[in-house]
Amino acid sequence: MLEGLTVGLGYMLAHPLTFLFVFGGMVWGVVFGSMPGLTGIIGVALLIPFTYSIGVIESLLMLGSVYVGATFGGCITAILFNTPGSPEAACTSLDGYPLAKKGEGGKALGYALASSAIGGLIGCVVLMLLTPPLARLALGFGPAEYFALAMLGITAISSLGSNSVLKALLSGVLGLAIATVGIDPLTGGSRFTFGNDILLSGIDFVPVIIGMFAISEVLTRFSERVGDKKSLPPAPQVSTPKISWTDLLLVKATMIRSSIIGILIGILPGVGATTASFISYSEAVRWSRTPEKFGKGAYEGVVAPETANSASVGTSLVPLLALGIPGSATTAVMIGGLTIHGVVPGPNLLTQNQELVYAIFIGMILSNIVMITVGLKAIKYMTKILDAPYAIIGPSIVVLCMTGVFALRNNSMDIVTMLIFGGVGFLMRKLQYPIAPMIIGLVLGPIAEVSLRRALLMNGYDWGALFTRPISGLILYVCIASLLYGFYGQYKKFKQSRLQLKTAN
Amino acid sequence: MKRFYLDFLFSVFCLVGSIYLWLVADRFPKSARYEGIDADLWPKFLFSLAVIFSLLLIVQFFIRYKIIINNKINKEKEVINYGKMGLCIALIIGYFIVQSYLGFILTTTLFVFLGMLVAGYENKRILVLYPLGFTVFVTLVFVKLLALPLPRGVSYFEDFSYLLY
Repeated sequence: MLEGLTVGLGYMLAHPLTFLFVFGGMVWGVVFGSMPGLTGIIGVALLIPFTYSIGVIESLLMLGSVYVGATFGGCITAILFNTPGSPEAACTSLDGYPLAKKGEGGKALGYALASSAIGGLIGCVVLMLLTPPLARLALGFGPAEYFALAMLGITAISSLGSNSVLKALLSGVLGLAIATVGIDPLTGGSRFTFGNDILLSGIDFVPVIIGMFAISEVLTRFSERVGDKKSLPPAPQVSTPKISWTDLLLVKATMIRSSIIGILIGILPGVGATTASFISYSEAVRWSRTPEKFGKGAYEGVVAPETANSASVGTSLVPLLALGIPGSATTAVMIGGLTIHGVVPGPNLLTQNQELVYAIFIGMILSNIVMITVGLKAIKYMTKILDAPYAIIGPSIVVLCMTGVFALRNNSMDIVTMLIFGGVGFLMRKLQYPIAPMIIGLVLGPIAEVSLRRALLMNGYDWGALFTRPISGLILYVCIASLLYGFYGQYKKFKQSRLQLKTAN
Repeated sequence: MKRFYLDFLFSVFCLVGSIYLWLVADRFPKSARYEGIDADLWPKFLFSLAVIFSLLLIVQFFIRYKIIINNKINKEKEVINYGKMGLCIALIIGYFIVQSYLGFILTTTLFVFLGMLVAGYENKRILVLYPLGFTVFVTLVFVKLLALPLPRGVSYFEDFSYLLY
């Protein structure tokens, strides 16, 4: 490995332009990540044609940097405007925005940047050290394990409903149900399309996320009564994005846990940073001593998804480099950058093209370091926007959301979806239904369903087999215990409030 | 109290909707190859859960209602500016519909201007300049930098859009 590292580093030092590509890719990635609707995938895809004219190592370093930058960039608008720039950052809004509303947006951004960088670096080190064994581990995961993993994220829903576990569960089930619209992945038949061809491709979760968070936020802000003043209240002030080592030590357990989750999810083919961030958030709630603080502005709620999604970026390259299987949608697009130059990813790449592989490893580490500088600058300029009154920001957010969502697939139906879910999100907020479980259900629904049905098919329709396999069994028992604990907590709360009422009377 | 009743209505809506969608799932075409794990398995499981949770929420509503009536609890008054909210919804829907006729540039300028006006923004100079500047910025980013399509509108408006991007 040391030899490979020397070769990779030697190439980069001999070609100093590679550093410029890393920097440029990072800036491009942060911009794409922070604009609603423009995801890292689009950022990478738009750059692929430009890679014709540059070397393969430079291309991959640039595309890798875009991926790292976009994964982080999404959190900036998620925290400041409740408008997740990318799906990976949707979870960050849940606590990031309440923190910004309290005037702690700067600190939340600081936490997001630090945890993204640390998570990303850990992911890259793991990528460098454990690519071959991790790829073998990923291949050992069957449908039963995938189903259990999805359930792990979904059952934490019970802990997310601080007001009502039942409302949280209903919200989660509705999210799972929305994910069933479209063509059935196994039989190919249409479901819940009601004769409408547009629904055949299903309900894309990007417009749903943007609608539920951004549009519902604009509606909420516009519906606020502000006393005698005609104008909307000013946006909250943002503190300097500085955090100390002591601050980071306070969330070290969340960071370590989320890094492990991000690494494991990242190496699983087809499951990306978005899933990693949601499962990691759910686990942060489950392990917290104060789960009631989540959703109202808990720093762990920002650290958990940001660490996990950045850690998963590095390891999502593991199946790509070791097996030739893309670990996420963005790495699938990145294959384009490799094939343009005639490079075939797979087991032989590690032995035949050491210079390329190790330059990527080093480049990914470098990207995470560069991200701190670029991120700080981006935060500095983005927070300036908050000085403007919401009367200016609100309509601008609507325009950016509509344009970004339309640009996703050039499909007006995506805008309709976004607007409908904007209304649903607004109603849910007013009725105190938590939004997070619905989004978690929507993201994990397809994985849960397909994995469950495949697992049943492989095990002769025996539901018990899900519990007898060691990994899936263990995870499913944890899920059941978590659900029961959630209900017990709710029952205790209800009893307490009745007792308080009795004593008051 | 309004929200309290709305909450109840929402639970009833979820209950009725879940039963209806369960029945829809029951009518999905059956596939002999996937018998036992057919297309209806997962949706029916989910809607059964939704029925249970909605029913429990309705029961919870009646328990809470009894407590509220018995203890004469007056829930916090809702503070919603319905007028402004209605205007905001109308503007957003209008923006989406009109865009396909008037094109991106004209509609966006108009939408941002009206949005700022509805929100109570008063600085006249910014009220005129910002919508124009913002629209030019978004158009430049999406069309010139990213080469992504934006609605052009129809007839004269389409011709007008070709003059600009």
